[in-house]
Amino acid sequence: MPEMEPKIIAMVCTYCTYTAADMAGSMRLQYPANVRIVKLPCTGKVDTIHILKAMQAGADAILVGGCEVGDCHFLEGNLRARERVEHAQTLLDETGIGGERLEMYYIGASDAPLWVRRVNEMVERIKKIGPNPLRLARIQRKKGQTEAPGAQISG
Amino acid sequence: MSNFKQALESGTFVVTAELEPPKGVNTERFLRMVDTLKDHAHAINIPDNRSARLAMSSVAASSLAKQRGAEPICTFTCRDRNRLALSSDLLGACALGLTNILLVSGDYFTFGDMRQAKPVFDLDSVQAMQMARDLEKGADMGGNQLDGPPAFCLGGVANPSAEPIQPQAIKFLKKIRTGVDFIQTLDIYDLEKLKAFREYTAQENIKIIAGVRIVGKHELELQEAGKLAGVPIPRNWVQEMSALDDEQAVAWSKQQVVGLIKAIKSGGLAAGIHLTADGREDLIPGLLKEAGL
Amino acid sequence: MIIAQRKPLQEIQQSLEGYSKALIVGCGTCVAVCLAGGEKEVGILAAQLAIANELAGKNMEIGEYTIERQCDREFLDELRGMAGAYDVLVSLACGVGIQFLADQYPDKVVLPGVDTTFIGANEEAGYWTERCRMCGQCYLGLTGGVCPVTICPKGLLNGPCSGTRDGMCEVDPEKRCAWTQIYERLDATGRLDLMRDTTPPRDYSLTTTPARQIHKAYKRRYTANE
Repeated sequence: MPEMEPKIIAMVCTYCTYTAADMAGSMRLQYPANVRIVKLPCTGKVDTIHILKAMQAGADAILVGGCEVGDCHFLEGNLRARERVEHAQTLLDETGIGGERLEMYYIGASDAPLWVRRVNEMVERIKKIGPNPLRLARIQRKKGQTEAPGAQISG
Repeated sequence: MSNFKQALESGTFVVTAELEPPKGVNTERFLRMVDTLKDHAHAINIPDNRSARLAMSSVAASSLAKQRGAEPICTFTCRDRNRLALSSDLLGACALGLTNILLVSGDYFTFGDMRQAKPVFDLDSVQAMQMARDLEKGADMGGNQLDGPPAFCLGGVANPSAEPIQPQAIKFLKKIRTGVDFIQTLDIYDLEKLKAFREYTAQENIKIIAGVRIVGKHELELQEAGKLAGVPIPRNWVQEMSALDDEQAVAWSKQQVVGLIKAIKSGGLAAGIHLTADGREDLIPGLLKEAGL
Repeated sequence: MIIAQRKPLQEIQQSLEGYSKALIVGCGTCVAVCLAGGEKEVGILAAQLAIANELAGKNMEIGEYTIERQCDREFLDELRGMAGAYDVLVSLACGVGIQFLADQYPDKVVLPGVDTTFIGANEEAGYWTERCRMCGQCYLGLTGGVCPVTICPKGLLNGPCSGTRDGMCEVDPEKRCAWTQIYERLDATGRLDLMRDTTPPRDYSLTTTPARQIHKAYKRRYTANE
């Protein structure tokens, strides 16, 4: 059984979540290395198409991390992101890939432990629901194997 | 002149009652109720797909009621018919001896059976009344001469309970100017509203027939579900009736209606009353007796 | 401006059954403003279709192209070179653009990707309301700028009906009664006499479909060639 590491894309804002992730690093907090961070000025910059393209490319999950409601450096960016994430969840449900692979979290700049917790949550979720079916199908095609769907994910 | 028109002009306190046509061709209950009501009301209103719920056409049901010896008021809505069909049906109604006509805009499909139907509303009620009066003068809407003009006792509706009341009053006055013989109001629960409405109509020489309604648990449920067309049942009625079973609730509302009728008659607030008691029309004769009519 | 709504993905997928090369054509005018069929939405639909097809093991080539407008031939000509490579064109333009596109490429299968809903105003980003039903005989001068044909679901020219409840409409209890609004506007500008006069019936012959309009200065140019 192939072991697949979850691939999580984190689209995070500079002012809050990126700072928290950075701090987690300085604090030497342990958390899975499955996250690729995309640093944005604000989660308001996240567009529905970025999320869809990331899924199409094979990401197992997308985590959008922004400032807590009311704390957005650009005032409303995180609110717009919340709406877009919810909309994208319905689009992903429509396509059959599942909106549960996408989640928005509010992680303040000083909350490194919360960042770690959320990353862990996402990893656990992917272990439960399995990898992005597109990613799985492509890997199997490349290896020429005929594995049953729902391969195990190793932690 | 129709018997109903005669009654109106004689100054009698008139009584009209509402009776919905059957939702099918089984006229057994309908005719039974016609028999019950015909000797207790000066005329029976036969609505036209009321609340946009399918029923036999008013003109057909009115014709059956007339054959039974009743005096019907045939209704036409603007919702389901364009000007050609309205004119055509009016000529047909007159030829069948149905000269008491109520012209209304019509409830929208929101409350009804067929939400996907196409709304017509080619004319509004005022324009339809004008059209009816022009037919009586011998011409159709295209300016063509008629081979035999009809004659009607024409009526419309008004809603004294509406808020704000001024737009309703303006519309009401337009109907009077167009020339209606009577106006039936939507259900009255608050006599103050009826009195206030009379302020707008004081100068007008028009017969206003006040609507009153016996309701039961079924109507409360419809209202709860947002499906009750017409005037909402007031909060105090809902409170009182919710604590009772259906029979008691109907009896309670019947008592309220008796009170309203007595006050309307003694206060000279209207030229008559229009009674609605859906599914319970058999209670009407007893109620009229209690109210002293 | 024309408002439209993207059709549900399932409906589009069903209409694409059996085709192997689809070009999604967007429009940069009305449908872009109402977030239904602009360049972004073309990208979103293409990504959704690609994902859904791959999940279903379907092989379909999906192209994306957005032109300024689909109701002007000069922009539709831009597709000339690439349309040949596809067996179906999915247009995200309004019904006008979809038909114009189909006229230009009569040998191609053209499918709608949106439902055109109404002509309306941009109240705010993401929120549009219907304001005009194109009756061809504008009544706005008589009604203080509130359209009786559109805002009143019954299109009453002598309103209100008796279904008004607390100034709200019986059809949509969250919408103010059009004639109550008209009354207020006329009252505020001292023109209630306009509401007291009976408005005659509408002339529906003005809206017999399909309508056609040629500007006076262009009549000779177009009728000479008929």
